[in-house]
Amino acid sequence: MSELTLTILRLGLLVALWLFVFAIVGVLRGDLYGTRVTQRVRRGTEPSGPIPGASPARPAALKAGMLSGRRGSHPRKLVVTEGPLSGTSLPLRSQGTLIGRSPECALVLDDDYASGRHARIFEQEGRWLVEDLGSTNGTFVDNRRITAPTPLELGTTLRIGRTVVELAR
Amino acid sequence: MNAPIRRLSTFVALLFATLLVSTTIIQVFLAKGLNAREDNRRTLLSTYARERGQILVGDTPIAVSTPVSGEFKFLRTYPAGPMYADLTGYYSFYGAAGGLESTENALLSGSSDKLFYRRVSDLFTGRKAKGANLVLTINAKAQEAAYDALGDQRGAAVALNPKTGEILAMVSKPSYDPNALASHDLAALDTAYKALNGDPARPLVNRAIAGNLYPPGSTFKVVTAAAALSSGRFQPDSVLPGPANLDLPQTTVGLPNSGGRACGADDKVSLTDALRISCNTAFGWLGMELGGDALRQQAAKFGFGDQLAVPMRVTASSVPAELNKPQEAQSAVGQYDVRVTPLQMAMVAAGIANKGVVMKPYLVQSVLASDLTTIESGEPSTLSEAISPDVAAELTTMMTSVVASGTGTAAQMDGITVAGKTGTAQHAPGAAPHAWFISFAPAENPTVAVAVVVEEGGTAGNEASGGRTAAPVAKAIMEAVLR
Amino acid sequence: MTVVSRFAPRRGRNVELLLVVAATAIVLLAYVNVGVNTHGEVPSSLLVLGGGFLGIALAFHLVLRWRAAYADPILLPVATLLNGLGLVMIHRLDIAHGRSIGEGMALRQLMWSALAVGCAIAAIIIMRDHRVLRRYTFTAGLLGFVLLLLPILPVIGSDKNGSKIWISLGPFSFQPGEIAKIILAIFFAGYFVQTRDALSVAGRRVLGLTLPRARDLGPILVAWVLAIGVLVVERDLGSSLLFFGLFVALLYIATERISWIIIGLTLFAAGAYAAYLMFGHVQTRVLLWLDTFSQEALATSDQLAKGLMGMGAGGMVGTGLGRGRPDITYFAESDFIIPSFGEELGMVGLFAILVLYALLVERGLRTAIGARDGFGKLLAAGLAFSVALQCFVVVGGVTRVIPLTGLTMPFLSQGGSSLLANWVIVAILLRISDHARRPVPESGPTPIGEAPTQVVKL
Repeated sequence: MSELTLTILRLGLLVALWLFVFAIVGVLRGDLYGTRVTQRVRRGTEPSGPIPGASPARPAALKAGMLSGRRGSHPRKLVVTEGPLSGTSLPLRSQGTLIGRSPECALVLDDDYASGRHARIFEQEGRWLVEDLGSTNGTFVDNRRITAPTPLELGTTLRIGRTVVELAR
Repeated sequence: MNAPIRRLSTFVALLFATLLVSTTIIQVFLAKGLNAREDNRRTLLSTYARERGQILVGDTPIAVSTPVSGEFKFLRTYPAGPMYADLTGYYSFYGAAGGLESTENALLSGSSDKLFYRRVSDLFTGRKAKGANLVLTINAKAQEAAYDALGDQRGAAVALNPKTGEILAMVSKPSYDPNALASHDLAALDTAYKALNGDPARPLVNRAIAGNLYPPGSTFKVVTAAAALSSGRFQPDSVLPGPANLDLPQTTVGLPNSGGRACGADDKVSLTDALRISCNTAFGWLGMELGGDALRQQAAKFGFGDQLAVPMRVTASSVPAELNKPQEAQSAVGQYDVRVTPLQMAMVAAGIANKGVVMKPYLVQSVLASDLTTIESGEPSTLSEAISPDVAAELTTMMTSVVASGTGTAAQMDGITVAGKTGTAQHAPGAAPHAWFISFAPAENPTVAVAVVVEEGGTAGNEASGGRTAAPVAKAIMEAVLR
Repeated sequence: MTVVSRFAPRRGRNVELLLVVAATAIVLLAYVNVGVNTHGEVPSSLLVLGGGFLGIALAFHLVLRWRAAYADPILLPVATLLNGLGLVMIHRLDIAHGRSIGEGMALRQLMWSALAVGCAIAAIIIMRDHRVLRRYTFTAGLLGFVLLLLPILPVIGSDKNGSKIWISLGPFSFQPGEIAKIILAIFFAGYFVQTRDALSVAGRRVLGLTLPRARDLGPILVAWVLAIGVLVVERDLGSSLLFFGLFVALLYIATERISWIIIGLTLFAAGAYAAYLMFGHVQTRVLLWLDTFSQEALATSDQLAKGLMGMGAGGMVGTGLGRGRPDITYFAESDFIIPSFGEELGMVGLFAILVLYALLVERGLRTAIGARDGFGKLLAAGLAFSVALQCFVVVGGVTRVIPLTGLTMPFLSQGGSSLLANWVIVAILLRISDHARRPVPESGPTPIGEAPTQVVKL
């Protein structure tokens, strides 16, 4: 094998290594701009005006389905829709799901406005209920501070401090 | 918790940056020093893995790498053994040393910048990379004659082509066998090196250019005569005082002639005769007349004090400065602290032979690539114009008389006029003198100039003189070149 | 209408596939280099080995498509490439030492690679959510310390290369520190998530620095005693630094208090200095570090010197794989694999390898930032940082930044326990990143603005 071939192979390996590195850096560059601003035109059936909240880009059809069509079906998990843990989901347990800052809770909130043991979601007679466990800043269901166990439906918003959770299937 | 994680990321980036810096320092800035370390086995292996260039005299290699089996791919061998040892040096595990192996290492190993384009072309043609070959200016017959004529005596001999400066022969005795030092057997190598390095005769030293400097003795009278003639105040037939013993001012010790007799009738002698019979008193007087500075200047014109490389470094010869009167007298006859290399005295002879022009001595005739195309060739160049052509002609005539009827008759050759000068240099009280002879021939159109020194009289001991001990060696060398 | 939308739909699985194929191609190119430089021909086993290697990597990739579709797409290719380069170097050293494929270390390493990837795949499949690990916080704590201290035990602990960080059980030898690294990261993450509130309570201020309360100093003192114990008894600065560094880093992340770092570094520096004054073996290590080429140091060990000379021989672009002499250095395939790469790939190649490690760590830390739960954040950050610290300790050791220690280079070095541990780390990071990058589920509008919220800040 000629010396030239050997040299090409030798330097080729170094070049290939660096191309690999640059390829990765290229992929990561896209990752750095994790959020981007896009223009979208809503369909006419949408309620007019800007919607405050986390996920305005959501297709309208899905929203309609969640809010109306399947209201009777049974929720099986809890989804955080707003706050530092946004996107987290966890299964609902019939014996009760504890929410708060304490590490023993099922949903541990990293939120200065939440209490250690803040609220509990539990099942009773086929329905999910939430009760406040004597929190300082209160628990809100559909923006009303609750004082007694309150039933939760699919899509009902439950707010604890800066965190908003919903039931989902 | 994201802010501290981001700060931790910065810290991690710093850690990696540190590693990049430390790596760079080692692989770029320290690499050269690391590779040059004596205990670096990788360097050793890689240099032994490449075929080193040959050193050639004519067509005959005197240093050649032969492939062997084993971890080290090539063994450096020196077919002529000790004869060329002081020229080649040796190539050992501890690096190249002693001669061309060391000074021309870059060319021989193939790493020289001069070989860059050749390396690139080797890459494309698929030729195996080899070091460059060196062809020397040495005349093999002259080298052999010098080596044999010196025999077992300690000393050195140098022969030059006076017209070009080519070094035709260079021998230093005792010599050594470089093959023993090139051995791949580490234990044998160590034993050989320790023996050579510990030898009081110092065989590893090249006496011709880099040994102890010698007092030149009476051969220096040629330089004194050159200064006298160049001054315009003296002619070859100028009459000088030549008593048996020259009184020196400021001291009770005089400067005697070696035979203890006056150099001529009425203590008078001509300059030519003074040189012919090597009259100390006349030259001592001349030294005081001319002064130390004139002697120094004349010597410098012959190359004294120059830093020469042939390409091995040549120790500079010297005439001391700020001499008082007695020192001037002694220096004029090559005693006191005048110190020379045999090469320098050969250059004095060559300068006179070449109409006063001293050529720069050199050893490498040409550098050949592995495909025998010439990369470089040695070109004659003028070192200095030491004396005028007229003075050179006068000195040549005077030196011819030395061989014809003076102290240097032992250098006579049939049918060839030889010009020469003997020297018998005292160097230590009680020790036998160094025997010197410098010469060139043929006197009409010189093609070889020689300097020979035999330390402490050689085999003749206290009976030694330049004429008896050194002149036959010079004659043998000149004959080898001329016949 | 201007809408800010989350940029999440890119799962990156196709990018990952391309990069895995590219990584395999580079490994095979390296393998060809070794073949032509040592035997003058392209190795005949190229396609078989290449196919097998690609198969292992693709299996992992497919499992990710199936079970962790949103996992980070960079981690797997980088780990694959590093693992493969390590295999090639070990194979190359087998050739230099005249070992055949059958008796060589490369084959064993290849089997370990397959086993390690298998374990990582199993971890991805079994562990659907990294938060289950939190349940084992204290079990992990106990196990971690036991593993860390196991090599001290008289019968099974063994002394290799001056450090007591190995255990031998019959024919198997094993570096428990590698596994301990993961287990301790789980423990520290779980423990700090629980105690972070207490640990971050401010104590008195000294010189503008808010110190923690004296009674909260307990855990760090325990960790410090253990770290110094490892340094003195196991004679290993690397493990000690790794373990204590991990502890302090996670403590800092959990509490966000810089004072913990200062306390930690001060403690460690003081302890290490005291150990230097008191113990001969620590002094020897320091001598070898500071004055590598002195007669005294060379008489003790010329390993570091030989490694440095190897790197020097490599220079900028290296000798080429198979054309240098990395085998001259002892442990050229494990602790000194970085000088081996430095020699044959040169500074240019070594930089690429270091950047690959940096990218791996960066993805780990990015995962930590993206993680949605505190435990995940701490665990990802801890694992990523431990890899970074280990690289620093190893490469810093062979390039004379810090004293040399006996740790192995993640993925590159020969050794089963190291491979296993690092592939499991990658698996855990992939699992956490899948969780972190999974898009937020769609939900209904939440008109908070109208709420008559009573807010009382605690």
